[in-house]
Amino acid sequence: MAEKRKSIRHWVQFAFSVFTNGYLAGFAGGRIFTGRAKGICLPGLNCYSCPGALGSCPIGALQSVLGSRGYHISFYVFGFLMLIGAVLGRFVCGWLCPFGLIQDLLHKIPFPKKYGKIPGDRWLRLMKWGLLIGFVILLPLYAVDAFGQGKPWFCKYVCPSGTLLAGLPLVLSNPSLRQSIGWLFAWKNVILVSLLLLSVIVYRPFCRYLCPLGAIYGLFNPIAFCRIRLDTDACTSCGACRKACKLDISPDRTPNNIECIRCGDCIRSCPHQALSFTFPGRQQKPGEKLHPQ
Amino acid sequence: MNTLQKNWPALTLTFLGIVFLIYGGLRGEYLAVLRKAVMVCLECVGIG
Repeated sequence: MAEKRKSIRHWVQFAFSVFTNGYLAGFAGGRIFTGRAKGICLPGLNCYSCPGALGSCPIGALQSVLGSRGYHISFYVFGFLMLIGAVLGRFVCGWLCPFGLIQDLLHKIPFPKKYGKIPGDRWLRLMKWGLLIGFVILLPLYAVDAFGQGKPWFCKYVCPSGTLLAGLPLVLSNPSLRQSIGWLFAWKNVILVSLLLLSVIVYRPFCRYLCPLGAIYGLFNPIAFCRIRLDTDACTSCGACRKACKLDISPDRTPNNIECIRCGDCIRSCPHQALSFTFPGRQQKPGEKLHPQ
Repeated sequence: MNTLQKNWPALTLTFLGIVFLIYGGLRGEYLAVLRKAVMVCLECVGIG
């Protein structure tokens, strides 16, 4: 039963990725979708230059608005992130992000030893905040050219999702782009390959250490409508949930930790059904606290 | 009382998010995103 529920999550991830990247002609012709839906953000890290993408990546959109002349704040993208964050939190990371699905699948590859974390994990987790503040907000906003235009620094120098979902398909299917590749393409592929290899032995290294979108959604985890409820009367602190959590969180202490991607492994592992998902509109139980961390 | 009524922080942020989204769209940010997204982003691809 637990395995069946786990595969449901992967099917949801797969179906949503296919649905939001459904412009098949783009993959065949080495071009991208240009309809008006492209101005609407998708919840996950889904590059808008992916040949199949029907919407925009919120991190790319944020950098493009902040880097545009005339805008110093993006109400449109911050509003979108606030809306999705308040309703879903990092449920998006666990269930709706295409790059999350790829890392999940890679982690299923058998390997002699899998690691719960890598040395310096606690400090490395702060990197995503540095990237969010520096590469996504400040540099596009203030490192501008003579025309007042900023660059999408995170997309340009870091984003492995863009390299995998947009760079490689476009370069492979478009000869003129293939002729233009240089050191930047090589650099981005080094990042991509390193993260994909690391994904085999460590669960979701990009989401843990580098994803600025996950950092933003994580802020909403403790208050989002969709979060995990801990029944303290049923919990015996047996540690089964801690053992099941691949992101090294203690769901029996902080079920709504900012690092939690709502994969549901802790819920499935609990022998006492002390953990459960809670959604908008659910009836509150007597004595239940709504905002445990 | 259900969680939707009780969870006022999420309710407030949802409402604010919708207001920001509409206001941002009306002041032209939707078009700024659209203009960028309908062209191949050479930086994202790893070329420009």
